[in-house]
Amino acid sequence: MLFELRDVHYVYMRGTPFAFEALTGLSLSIPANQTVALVGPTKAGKSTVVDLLAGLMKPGTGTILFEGTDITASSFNAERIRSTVGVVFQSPEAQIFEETVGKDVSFGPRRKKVPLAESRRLVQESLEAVGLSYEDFRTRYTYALSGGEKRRVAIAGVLALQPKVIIFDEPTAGLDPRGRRELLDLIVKLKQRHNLSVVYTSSSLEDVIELADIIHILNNGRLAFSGTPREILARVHELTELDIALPEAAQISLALREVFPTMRTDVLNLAELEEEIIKHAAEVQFIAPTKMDRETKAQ
Amino acid sequence: MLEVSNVTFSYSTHGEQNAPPALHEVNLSIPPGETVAIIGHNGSGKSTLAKLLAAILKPTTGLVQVDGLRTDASGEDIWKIRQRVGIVFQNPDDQLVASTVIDDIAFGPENLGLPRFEIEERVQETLALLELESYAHMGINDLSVGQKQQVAIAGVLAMRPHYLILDEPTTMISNHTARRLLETIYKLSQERGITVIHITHYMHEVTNFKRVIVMHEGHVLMDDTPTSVFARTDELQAVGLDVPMVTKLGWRLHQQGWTGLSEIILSIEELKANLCSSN
Amino acid sequence: MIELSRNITFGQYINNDSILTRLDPRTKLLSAVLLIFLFSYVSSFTALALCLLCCIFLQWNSHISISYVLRGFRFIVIFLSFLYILQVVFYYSLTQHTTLIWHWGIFTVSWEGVLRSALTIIRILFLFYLASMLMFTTALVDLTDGSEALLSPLQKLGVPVNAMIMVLVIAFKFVPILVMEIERLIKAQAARGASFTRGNIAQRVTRFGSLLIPLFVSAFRRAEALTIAMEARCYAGGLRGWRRSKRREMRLQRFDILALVFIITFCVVTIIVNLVAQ
Repeated sequence: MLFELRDVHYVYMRGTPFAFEALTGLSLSIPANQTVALVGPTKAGKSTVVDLLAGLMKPGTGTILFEGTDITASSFNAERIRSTVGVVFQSPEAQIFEETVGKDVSFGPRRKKVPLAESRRLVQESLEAVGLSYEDFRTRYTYALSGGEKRRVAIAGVLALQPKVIIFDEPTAGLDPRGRRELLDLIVKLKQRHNLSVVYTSSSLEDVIELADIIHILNNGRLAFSGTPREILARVHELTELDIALPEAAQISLALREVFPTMRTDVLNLAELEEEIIKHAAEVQFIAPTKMDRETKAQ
Repeated sequence: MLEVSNVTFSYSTHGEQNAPPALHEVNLSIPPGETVAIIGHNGSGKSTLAKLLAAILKPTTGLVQVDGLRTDASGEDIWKIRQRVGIVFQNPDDQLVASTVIDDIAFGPENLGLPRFEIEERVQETLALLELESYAHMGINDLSVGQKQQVAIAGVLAMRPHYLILDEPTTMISNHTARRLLETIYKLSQERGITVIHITHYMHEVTNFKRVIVMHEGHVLMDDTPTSVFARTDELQAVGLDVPMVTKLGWRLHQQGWTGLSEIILSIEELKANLCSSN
Repeated sequence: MIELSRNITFGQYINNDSILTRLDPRTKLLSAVLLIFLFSYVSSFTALALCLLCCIFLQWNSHISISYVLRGFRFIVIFLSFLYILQVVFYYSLTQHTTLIWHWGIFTVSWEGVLRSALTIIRILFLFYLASMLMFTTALVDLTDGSEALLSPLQKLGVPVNAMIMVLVIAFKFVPILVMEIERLIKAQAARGASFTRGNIAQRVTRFGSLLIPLFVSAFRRAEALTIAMEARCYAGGLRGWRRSKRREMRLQRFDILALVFIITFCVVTIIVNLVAQ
């Protein structure tokens, strides 16, 4: 087991009039070498979990085990897991802090006191891995990059740490559909090439439904339920109640239950959706509307 | 009437003299009362177009006119344009000024120098319109992003604009809130004759609009009804856009022999209606 | 370090419906100014004791937990202690400091020095307390409305008071946003191995420096975006001849007058006590 959270509580602004309990007893497991998604509405505690898993904060109460080690123990120095657990935060602006791309991507290796030649190699490999040419981008100013390029540089910066697991915190927020698809493809590619474990947080199921092996649904700082994508999609009513956006195919199948009451909602893509509709049409002896019917009706 | 006549716009950047212009010889006009969606990828020029229409940017060449007033004028005319054209941006934190909801909505009318009773009237009216009455005295920092965006829109509506431009207003908010927001705006435009121009990169948001303009690399690629635009799926995919899944589904079922379905289905409701009516 | 917002308590309005929160902002601002002058003027022990009583009275009426208020004092107390020691040990004036306690090389400690420095420190603490109380009990929008009203004669003389107040309003609006931004930057840097807790002083200071540039870039970007949004809502800044109207009204009530009378009386009494005690 890569991560194990046991009854984790976290309160922001503890002891002030503005205290807010973000995690109210969260317990879940994250197995290694898989893509695990944490999905929940805003304020479900996703970003808090990210910070805790990365060892950036310690919970109020509860334990977190990383590969069996208790990283919440007061004797444990979280800086030890810095390069093993990489985090790609939501907005790229918050994670790029050097002037040039080369300097920024090498930030991690430099902190680890990696020798110069090795550091250069890591930077080159990381940039190539995210699809940016090393020669081209090494000396570019980070302030002049486009949004998509910034995101890639941020990911490269994390890859340069050679982590075992990368946590992506709502990485597609604010991206247009093309950007989204490119990023998701990149994540899949990186996971395979670098043998990573991936933790992915999101407020919608659209991104993760075809990406994730396991999905944990969070709500109000606690685990609501977990399962494989199909298992999750079967529980549409709970998902809608939690205000979690369903992926398009599932949305359509849910709506079509008014026409085909026994239709499955755990359809992952268009092909499965189409298949399901045609199957049900046959079962209920649904009369497929044809042009002739329309014309007859009109008369 | 919003008129864009042969407009080219380049962002001047140092050392990038040969960069392509953000907008290239764009011509279009939007009559009052229309609801228009402008769709395109980041970099297609749609946000630039929005800013030109709101007189935030001036065209490099060409002319943009709002009800006959030129946006490259100065002084009094710009003031009039700003009163008539309201614009809402993506990030509410970049738009809200005051510390409470009610004070921020009042910001616009206060700038117009309106008397106190009229400001109060407009503020109350807008609060009711967007169902924000219970939030009136809340601090802005205590609101969620979706709520903040509603306040930002309220702040613009309180100025009673004739034209409302929404520049990717739903990017940072949840689907549920986004849908409700767009429904409210659409209803408002019907009731009050406000011209709504909605900039987005989500195809599923454009289905309620009468007119869809597709932008690509600074040009207007398509300018038609949603149905006609969605029918050109191949062209859309060629520029990296796509139609909603329900449209693709409708098309595939149609190909399977379900010819009684409309060829181009825009929304899930439409699909349902189509299927129900034949049984 | 990660939870910066928890440690920054200065300037947060607490709306607990105490009598202090219900006073008109102009009353509070005027009282604050009067008390600041008073606290800066008095020097006798008895007068200072009266000032302390005044603070206790304010604290009691504010209904805010004393531990919360005192938390805001942490940094300034450390700074002031340091200042005190420096002043006592290094500052020496032949005419004023006549009772020497200890002398070694350039270090001179005199009884007058000890007392005078203590007085300065106490005054600064009083001032800090008043400012904190003002911020805790008055919403920002009230502070700005009150200041604008009190400074309106200057506006009529051509000083752009309204524009400057607007600048303050925006700056305050951005404080929590920028605090969150700093937190995010710290987290992002920490996540890539930067340590803000280890290393010597010089290293830690340079590390904080590396946060400044991204913060500035972010702040400028936001400022630009906000300016556009404000102008789009017809805000005309310092444009000559342009005046905004206001939705909010401030009305002086009976207990505002009462409070002002009380403060003025207190000031007069304390000044008299101070003169008598000397």
